[in-house]
Amino acid sequence: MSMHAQPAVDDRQVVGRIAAGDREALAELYQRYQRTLFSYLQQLTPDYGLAEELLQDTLVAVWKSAHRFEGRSSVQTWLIGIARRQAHNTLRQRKLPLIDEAELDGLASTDPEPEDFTLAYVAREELVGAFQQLAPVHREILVLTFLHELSYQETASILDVPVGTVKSRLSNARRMLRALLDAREEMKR
Amino acid sequence: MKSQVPESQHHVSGLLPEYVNRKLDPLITDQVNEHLLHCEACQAELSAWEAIGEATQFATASEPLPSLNILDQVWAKIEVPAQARQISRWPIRHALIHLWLVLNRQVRIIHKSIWIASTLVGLFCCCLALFFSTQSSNRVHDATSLLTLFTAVVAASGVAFMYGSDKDPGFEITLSTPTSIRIVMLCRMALVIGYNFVLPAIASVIIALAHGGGLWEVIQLWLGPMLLLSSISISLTLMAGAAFALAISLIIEALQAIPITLEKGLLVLQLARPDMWQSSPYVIVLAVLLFGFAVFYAPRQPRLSN
Repeated sequence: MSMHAQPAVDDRQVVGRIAAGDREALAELYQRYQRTLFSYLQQLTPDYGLAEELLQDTLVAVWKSAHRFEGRSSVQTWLIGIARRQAHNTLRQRKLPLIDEAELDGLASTDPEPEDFTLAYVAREELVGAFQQLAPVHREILVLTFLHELSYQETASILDVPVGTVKSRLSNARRMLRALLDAREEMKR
Repeated sequence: MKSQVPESQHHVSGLLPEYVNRKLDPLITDQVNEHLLHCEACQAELSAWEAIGEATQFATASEPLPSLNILDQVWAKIEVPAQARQISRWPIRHALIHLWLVLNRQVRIIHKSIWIASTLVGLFCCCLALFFSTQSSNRVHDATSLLTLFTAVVAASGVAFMYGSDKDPGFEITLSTPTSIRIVMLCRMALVIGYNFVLPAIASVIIALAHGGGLWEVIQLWLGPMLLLSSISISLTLMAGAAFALAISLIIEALQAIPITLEKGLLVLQLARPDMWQSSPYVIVLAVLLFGFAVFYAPRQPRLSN
């Protein structure tokens, strides 16, 4: 289930009201998407205070750029895209670690991988623990796909990468999860 | 945009995350369903993606929410640049208004004793001027010498005690405001010296009217010494404290205004001739340089004293 279930047309009307300078509309949009945005930003930085600051910057940017929203993407995609830009700009300015976009995104496998047979049978707590150990780039792709339920195309437009890269990042994230679970298993022995 | 329809002989691994999200269009979804019916590998992979999806949702569900005042902070960020834009449109006007507000507030902050002492001495100078104006013209020199002496000493005392942590109860608050310490210092100097200028100026008018001659000729006798002694006083205050600065100022003024001579084995004190210690360009330039030093040095003074 998506984190928010408001109709998209309604969202666009709210953005239109923001563009017209309606403060209550910004508050309304924030109420709808605060969890979506904050959850996403928390994947990009472990610092709660910085995540809040980025959330504020995102809303300021929404206020300033609402008149440029043309409705070509969903409001959720537009908002997450703005949040990502704000995060990257701030992290770059403060020389904090960025999501490594230079990572080798390799080709996504089109065949099932043997280790995935066991991934489904791992206890959820262990899988959650492994998720939390993932690199931001992998947590980000999983959150966009499975929490915000975005399509490959929407994710690609947010990350500003080809759809193939989205697929390969997903594949890599799954592989990293498997590796982390294996490492945990080794430590238990 | 939808993914391409998979060929029946291929696995559907690449489509499974979107299949889990129900983002595939119905035609492709049907084909994936059909493939899954007879492909155990893809069924296992689907289970893996479903497990990953659940873990992702579960992991993020426990993350904290943002603070309640986020929107207030957002409005603050939106409004500050708007104010800045307004300021950038009228920078000189806003600078002058800001300067006036700072100047206005300093009147209340400067210790009252400075105003009282300046008023009393100024009135005393006016009375002296009135008294000597009824005397012979030789006494005019005494009147102007006394005017110089008192004006310079009172102004120097005023500036010595107008600024600093030990003399200003609101000093910490002053330091914590965004207003520059230099602006504060400049405003206080302007107020104290300006106030110490007014009453001696009235006395000078009386002397000039009573004995003829230009007003500036009388004013220049005490203006230069007053400025120089005040500038020495504030500079020494910042570096060594108000008491030391006042003592040095008094000694300098005494040496200039009350020379000691030896006549027939006796010490004789006399008031100096006004032309020995007046508003020469050197005195004014030196005073301006010392005021400049005080303004420049002011922000460093609290740290040194701590």
